[in-house]
Amino acid sequence: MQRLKSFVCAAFVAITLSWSSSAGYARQATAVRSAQPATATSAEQTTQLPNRAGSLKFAVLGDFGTGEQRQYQLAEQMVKLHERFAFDMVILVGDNLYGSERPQDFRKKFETPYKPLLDANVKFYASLGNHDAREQRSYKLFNMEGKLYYDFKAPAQNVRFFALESTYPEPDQIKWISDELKKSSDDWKIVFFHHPLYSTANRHGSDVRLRETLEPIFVQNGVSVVFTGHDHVYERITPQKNITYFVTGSGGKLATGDLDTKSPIMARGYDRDNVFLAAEISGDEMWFNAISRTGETIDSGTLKRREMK
Amino acid sequence: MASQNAPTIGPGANGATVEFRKRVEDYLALQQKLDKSIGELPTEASPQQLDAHQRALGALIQKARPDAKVGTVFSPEMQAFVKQVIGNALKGPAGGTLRASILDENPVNTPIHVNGRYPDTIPMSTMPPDILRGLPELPKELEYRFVGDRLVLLDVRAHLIVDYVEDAFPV
Repeated sequence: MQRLKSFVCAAFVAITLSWSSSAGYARQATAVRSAQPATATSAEQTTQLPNRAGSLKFAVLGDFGTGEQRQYQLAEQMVKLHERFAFDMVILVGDNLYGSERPQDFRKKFETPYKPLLDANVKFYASLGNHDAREQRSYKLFNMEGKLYYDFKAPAQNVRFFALESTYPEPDQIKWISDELKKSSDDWKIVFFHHPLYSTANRHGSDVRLRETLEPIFVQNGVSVVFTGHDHVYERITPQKNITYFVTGSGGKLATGDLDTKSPIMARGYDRDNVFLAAEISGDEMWFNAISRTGETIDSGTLKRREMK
Repeated sequence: MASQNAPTIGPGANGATVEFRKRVEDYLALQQKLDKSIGELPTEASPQQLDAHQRALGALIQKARPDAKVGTVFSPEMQAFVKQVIGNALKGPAGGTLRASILDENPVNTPIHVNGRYPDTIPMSTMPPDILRGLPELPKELEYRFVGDRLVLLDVRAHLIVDYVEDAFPV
C-alpha cells in the first residue's frame, strides 16, 4: 500500500538521466523516457530503488565526522532507509573524522551515529581525506586492512571497488590503480577517493592536476562510476568520457550556496542540506537515490555500466 | 606491518639525494627498531590501540633524537634540490593551480618543530602529483607534506615531524 501510494509508475530508463524531485539545481540530460514517482512529505522517506533480491545495495557518505547534530540526523535517515533497503556496505569518501582523533572521537564521530548499522553488520569501507590521520587505515571498522589504497569484490553482483588516497597520489599508487584496473574483469569498476576530479563547487572545485593523472587511467580501463567528496555539497556530474562522477561531501559538513548553478557539467546539484547516496546494482544497471537529512530524495536515476569493446 | 624498501633515487639524482636517501634509511632503521620494541600495530586496531601506539612510538623517537633540528635529514644541498623541484613545478603553465592546491586548507603560520608532533589542529596538505614525481621516493612510513610554505618530512606512524625545509616556495 505504501508503495502504491508512493509510486505512480515503475518504468525506468537505461540511459543516464537526471530529474529533480524537489528544489535544487538540475540540468536535463538527453531526453529519455522516464517516470517521476510521486513523493510524500519531507517527513516521510521515499525511495526509488527497486530493492531486488540478489542485487548489490550500498550507500556512499563523505565529509561526515563532525560529531554534531546534522551528522547524527543524517545517520538516522541512513538507519531508517536500512530498515527497508538493507544495504550491505557503506563507501566512505574521506574526511571521516574532523579535528582530534582520540578514542572518544571515534566513538562520537563514527561509532555512535552509525551504531545501528554496525550492529546490523553493515561494513564500512573507507578512503582517507585531508582531515584524516594516516593511521585510520588500521582502524578495524574502516576495513582498510592497513592500506592507504586497496580494492575489494562487492558481496553481490559482479562489482569491484577501488579505494584511492588522493591527498598523496605518489607514483606507486598511480601504477597500482592502473595495474589493478587493467587486471580486473569485473563488470562494474567503481573507484572512490576524496578529491573530486569534477566539481562545480566554489570552495575547492575540480582537482584538475589529479584529473590529468587519473582520468586517462579510468577511461582506458572501463571505470563506470567515481565517488568523491571534499566539497561539502551533493553533485552529480554529466557523464565525462562516459564515466559518471558524484560528489558526496555533505555527510556532516555543508557548504550552503557553494555550487555553480550555471556550470554545464552539473547534472544535479544540492547544497541546502546534508545528503548521503543510496545505490543498487543489478546486472548492467545502477540505481541511485540521494537522500537528505529530512528524508527527501533530492536526486535519483539510473545508469548503465560502461562496456569496453 | 611490512615496511617499504629503502627510497629509490628520484629524477635529478645527485649527491644531495644520495645523502638524503642515507639519512632517511638511518631514520627508518631507528623507527623500525623502536616500533618493534612496542609491538606491531594490528591492521584491525581499535581506536585505543591506534592512539596508544602512535603516542608511544612518538615518545620513543623524540627521546632518541633529542638533538634533531632543521637540516638533520634535509642537508643544505637537499633543501636547495627540494626548492628547485618545487620551483620548477610552480613555474610551469599550471603553476597557479598548483600553488592554490598546496595552500588549500593549509594555513601559513602554524608553528612546527623538528621532532615535534604534527599539529592536530590542521588537516594534511594535498600533495600535487607533479611535485611527488620530482622528489625522491620515500618508504611508506614517511611522507612529504606542506605546512604553510614548509615542506615537511612526516613520520606517518608516529605523527612526528622528522625534518622540514623552510621557505620551500614563495607564498
